[in-house]
Amino acid sequence: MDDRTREAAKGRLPDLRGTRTHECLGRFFSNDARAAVLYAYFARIAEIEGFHEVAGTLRELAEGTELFAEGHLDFLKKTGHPVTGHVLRGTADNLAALRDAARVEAIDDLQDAARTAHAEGFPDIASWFESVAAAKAAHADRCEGVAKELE
Amino acid sequence: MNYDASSIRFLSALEHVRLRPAMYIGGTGPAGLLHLVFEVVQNSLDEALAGHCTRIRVEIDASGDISVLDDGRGIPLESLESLMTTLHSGGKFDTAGAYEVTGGLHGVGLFCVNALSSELEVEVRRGRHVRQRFQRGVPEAQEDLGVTEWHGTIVRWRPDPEIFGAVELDVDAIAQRLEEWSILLPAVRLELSRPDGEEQAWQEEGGIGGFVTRLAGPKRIHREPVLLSGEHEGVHISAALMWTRTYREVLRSYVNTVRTRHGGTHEAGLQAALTHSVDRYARRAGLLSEDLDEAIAGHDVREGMVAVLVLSMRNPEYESQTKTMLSSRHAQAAVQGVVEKELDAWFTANPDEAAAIVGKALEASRARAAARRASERARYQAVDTSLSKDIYRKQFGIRSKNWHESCVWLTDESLLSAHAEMCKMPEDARVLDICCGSGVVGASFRDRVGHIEGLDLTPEMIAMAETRLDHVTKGDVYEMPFESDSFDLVCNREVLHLLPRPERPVAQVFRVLRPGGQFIFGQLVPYGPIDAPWFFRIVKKKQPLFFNNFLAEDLVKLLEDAGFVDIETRELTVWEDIDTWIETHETASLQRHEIRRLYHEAPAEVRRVHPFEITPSGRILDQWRWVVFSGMKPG
Repeated sequence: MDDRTREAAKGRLPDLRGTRTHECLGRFFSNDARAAVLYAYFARIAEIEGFHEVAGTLRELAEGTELFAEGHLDFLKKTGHPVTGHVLRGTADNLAALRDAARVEAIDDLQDAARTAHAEGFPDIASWFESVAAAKAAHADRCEGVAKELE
Repeated sequence: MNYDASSIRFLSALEHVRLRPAMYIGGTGPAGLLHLVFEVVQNSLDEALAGHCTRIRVEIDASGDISVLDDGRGIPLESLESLMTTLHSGGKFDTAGAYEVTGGLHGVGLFCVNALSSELEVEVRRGRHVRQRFQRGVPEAQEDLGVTEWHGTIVRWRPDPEIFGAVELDVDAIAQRLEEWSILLPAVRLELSRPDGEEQAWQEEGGIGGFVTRLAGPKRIHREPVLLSGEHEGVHISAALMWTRTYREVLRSYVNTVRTRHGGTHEAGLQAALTHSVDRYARRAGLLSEDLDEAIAGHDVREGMVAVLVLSMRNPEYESQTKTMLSSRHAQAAVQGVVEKELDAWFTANPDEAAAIVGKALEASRARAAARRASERARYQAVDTSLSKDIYRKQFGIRSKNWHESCVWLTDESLLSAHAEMCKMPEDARVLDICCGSGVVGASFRDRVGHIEGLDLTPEMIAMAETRLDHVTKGDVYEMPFESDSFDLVCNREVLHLLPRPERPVAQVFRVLRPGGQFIFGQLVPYGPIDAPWFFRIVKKKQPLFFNNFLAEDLVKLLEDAGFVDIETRELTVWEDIDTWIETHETASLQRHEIRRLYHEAPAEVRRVHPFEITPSGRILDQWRWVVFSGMKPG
């Protein structure tokens, strides 16, 4: 019996951080967030293709799946932002966490990805990454802007 | 069926309607007022549907009084008063009633109109000529005006100012509705007299077939409309279809004379039937290539189709009270069954037309595949040569056929002159217009310079440009076939976004310019970082060869990095008609739908920075932001 299992057996909740459960929550959160968008996206295509009933079902599945993602987040948020680990105790914290995450993605991830895409011969995808980076940087600024108004 | 006192059931209550009008007509605003008019007209329409009426007239006089006249059978005299003074007393509520089907909005009928009018007068001719007046729903004695040969009903009323205040009646909405109805009732003339005395009338003698033929216009690919009709488990269906050489799909559907603007199960049934029938015919006629594993998708079949679908059925169910979306399940199967059966028969009886229609769908499906392959191939080749000349040549070669009709910006005068106005070069300057297209940009410098040279890849474009420019050279912008320092000015518009590694053509421009020479180019750009991803998706779906989504500042940097100095910009906006812009062969049908969706569902933050408009008829107008850049090669 390890420490966590022992604590759990005593009826005390162990710390979630760093556990395999924590890792699963993070993974499921990403999966379901992604699945919700996939459902919604394909609902739109089904509608365009004239399959209205299919579209209705897919939209409902999107909604349902979004609820799963939010449920994972109910637990995850206690250990901070899923990517940056930033604390999430309320709107002021949440805004700061969102701002930081958007900046990291805009400045590091997306710009790196754009360079890679150029090098690999996908100029249009590179341009797409750059467009998203610019918009994300603007989103980070908006988060900062509303956070200032809170103070 | 007889339409007499026995078919009228009496229920109750005037006061309640006046106290809570919203419960009966939705509200006391402009929509509520319209509701009254449509409620009265619907009674006349029901007479027309039953085949007893040839003329319906709506008169609105300057004082706001409204009259609806018809030459139907006339309201049964013995039940006139009770019809006007009792809630839910229409013949339509009897399940075995006088009418098989009815479009009556909520069945609140004449009673509600009467209850919500300060004065109302109804005149009926049905053997005898009878008139009765009401004050806020309370009847006065019926007047018998004698025997009459004529038949019909006139309802004249003044909406109660206590209820509606100073709400204005939307006369255009009435006109629009009358026009819609005229399609369904070829035997009926619908008339409108407006408050200013202007008269309008509609009669579509050809019915739905005449309507789709007129709407399809000269671009139709078969002479006669496809007319289908049939019945399935109490659902009566008629439809008219016509295919055109355009890319736009028009589908109007009605259930019991009410237009179902948001479609529903009946439209889904039609779409499924079309896909099946066309695919089946194509397979039977051996038109599909098995090797390529070809299939015709629903949106390929509907591309360029003009259609009207009309249902009459008992107890239709809707998503909402406003009846804009049908939800009755059995309507879908009924429409699909009838249309598939009838369309199969029509295809067999009209093989030439069938071949044209199926060929059109096949073309759409192949264009979609080709567009996908073009973008894949362009991407592949971009790795070594940066540009697939064949693909550009092919795409712009096809487009040259209707180049100047393909969008507004191409020939917008203010946009063209913005380029020329930035020119700082002397009168004898040598100008080079790169990727000159039809040559309009180069030609806009005509009065300011000496010689205008064009450069383009496409023979069709070169032929067009030769009519505008002094000389056109065939060649490519990555390796311009010109000496260094040989031009005073290079100009270009809306091309850099299509060129992978744009820094290379810009370096070529720098090379062919003499020291002190000028580069002027215009480019469509997003308003800023917020609308950039949204705009990227729209343009990429429209144009698979879109490679660079420049922000204005990216283009300034592109010029600086190439060595240009004294960079200036001018900004202007041009309203672009998006439906026309996307109506090109390089935009596949599915993408056109997706583009429309992107406008309809644009995020709020995008709407705030990027102005666009969706008109009541559904056309999309986008206020594009154009920036014209000028940079100088150091002298």
